[in-house]
Amino acid sequence: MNYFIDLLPNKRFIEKIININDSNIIFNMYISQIPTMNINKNLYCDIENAKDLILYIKEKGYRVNIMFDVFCFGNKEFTNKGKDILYLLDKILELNIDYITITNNFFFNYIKRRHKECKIIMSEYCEITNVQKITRFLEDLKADGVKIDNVLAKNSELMEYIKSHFDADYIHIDANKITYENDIYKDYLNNSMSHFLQDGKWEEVNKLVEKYKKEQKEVNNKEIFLEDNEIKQLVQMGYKNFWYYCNTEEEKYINQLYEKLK
Amino acid sequence: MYLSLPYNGDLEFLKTVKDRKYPVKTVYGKRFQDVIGGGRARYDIANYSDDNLKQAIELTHEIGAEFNYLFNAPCSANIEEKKQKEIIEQVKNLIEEYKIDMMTIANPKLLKILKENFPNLKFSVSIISKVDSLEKVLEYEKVGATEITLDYNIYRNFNELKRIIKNSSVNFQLLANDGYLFNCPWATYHFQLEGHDSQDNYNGSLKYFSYCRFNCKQKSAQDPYELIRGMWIRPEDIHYYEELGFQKFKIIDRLKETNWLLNAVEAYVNRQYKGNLSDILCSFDTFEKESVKTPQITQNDMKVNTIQNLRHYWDLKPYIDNEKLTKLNFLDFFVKNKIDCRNKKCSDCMYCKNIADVTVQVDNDNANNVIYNLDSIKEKIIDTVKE
Repeated sequence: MNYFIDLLPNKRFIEKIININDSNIIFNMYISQIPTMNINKNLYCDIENAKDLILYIKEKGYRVNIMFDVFCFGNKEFTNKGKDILYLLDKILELNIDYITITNNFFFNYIKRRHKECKIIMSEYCEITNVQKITRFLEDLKADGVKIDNVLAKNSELMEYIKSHFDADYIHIDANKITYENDIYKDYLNNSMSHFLQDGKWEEVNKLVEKYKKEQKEVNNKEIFLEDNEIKQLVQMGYKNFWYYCNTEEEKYINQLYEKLK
Repeated sequence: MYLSLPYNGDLEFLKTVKDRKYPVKTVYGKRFQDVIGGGRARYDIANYSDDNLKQAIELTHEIGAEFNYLFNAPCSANIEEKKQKEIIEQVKNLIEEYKIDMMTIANPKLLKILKENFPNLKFSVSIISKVDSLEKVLEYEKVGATEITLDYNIYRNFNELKRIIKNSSVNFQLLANDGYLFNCPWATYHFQLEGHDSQDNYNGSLKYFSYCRFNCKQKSAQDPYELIRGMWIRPEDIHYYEELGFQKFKIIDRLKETNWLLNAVEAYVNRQYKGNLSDILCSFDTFEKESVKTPQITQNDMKVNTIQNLRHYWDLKPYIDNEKLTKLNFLDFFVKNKIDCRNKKCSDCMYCKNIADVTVQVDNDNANNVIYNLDSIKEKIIDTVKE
């Protein structure tokens, strides 16, 4: 089993997680200068702090996954901002990083060409909602992993089919994230979040997400998330990569992980 | 059958459409740049004047059709909140001064805002919104859509098409001639790039180039059966969709020249095309140019040209034998077997592969050159960004 855990950027957190379960933990790292979709401000650290933590995690024998899953980068990849990001990626990835989770085509090509040793996981923002999308990323583009949509993960018949046609090691599953089925606002939300987060507008992004959740409730849109028994079933099928996002404060998150990983 | 046709900046195109009395219900287009943007980058489209657009709208009305203004960039970087007043002013101006009849929108939030402010304006939901299920159709109906262009990834899923049309009351449009990559992994990213580039506030230091098209061109060069997997609708197959109840078909593209468009429109009006199907699919450049070889790029070519001027280095120029597709009753397989291609691997079916083997021809040198050239160009782009 591989557990992809959001890293709270301090060594104390790393120690506590390792104490819960010393098997296959991969720490998801959020670096302030590299845009992601996570709205938990406490997860981000700056590049210098990140380097220090990466070295510490590596020293302990664990793996690191750099999060770079921004949904819309506003065409900045082809400007000086893109140049700055490439510079940062070079600096970070030379620290023997195991995985990077991305959404963007340009950065995918860059990492494939210049950092072949780093494994690329396609984020959930690549909208991997069907078998053909899995094929596109894993077989055509030779990605090293795909984070599939909950709609797929909940469909046991399809998950059996996927298992029989792809290596389960390459399939990644959200163990604690809620999405909505047939949600026409999803792209709007993701685009808006991308730009608010890149502009550092934390208050706006939180308001946006709260409003979105409220609206989904009002229209009775069905929440899609995996129940514990569904996760067990997926494990029995042979799926190995499960992600546990941090959507709360540090102590509560550690307690949640204790329940899940012990 | 009714058609929705593009405004490509050339009034002669619309004059010919008028003279030939084509069954046109809508003409779609937009200003070169505006606050929301559209589905095509500025670089790609002809830079026509606002006055030219006004004349196009007048001509559209003379034809007896409606003008559908494209306001369909998927991402507005939150300006639908920040610049709501400016957006409403622009739309008011488009209605009062330009006399538009309809708007295509990809962002449901924007649709909601505009519907509240302009309750009499018709709203068409863009293909960019990826409406691929009845449930999404019904959600868009609630928000106020008058028309929806369904996601092309379901055009051969006759079960879902039937379910959608039987259970909804909104109007539909199907995009007929896009030679896109089925379930393209980068479709959303592509729409975002194109959309931002066509917005007033976009001031990127590098000119836009269609980065995502490199992937689909390379993929098609590697596996020509991709050319059959793309869910275009042939002129000969329109009747299958009409039988379900779909009446309106959109022909693209705004980027194409008048001669190209007239050839494609004529094919759909006549419900047949003799020759190379890729002549009328918008992703290709074979019409009247089939015999031109795609050269291999050199370091010097890349040194002296901008990326934008290297386009002919990724022209695949395939030959898709349309008459053979007709003889093979190509679409019957999907109509009869009611397959959902999205959740099945092609290796379990092989129908498109087998069809491609007997209908598609791609010159090996062209294919190899396209693959090589695009690899070189991608490297050049990385170097350019890093400079």
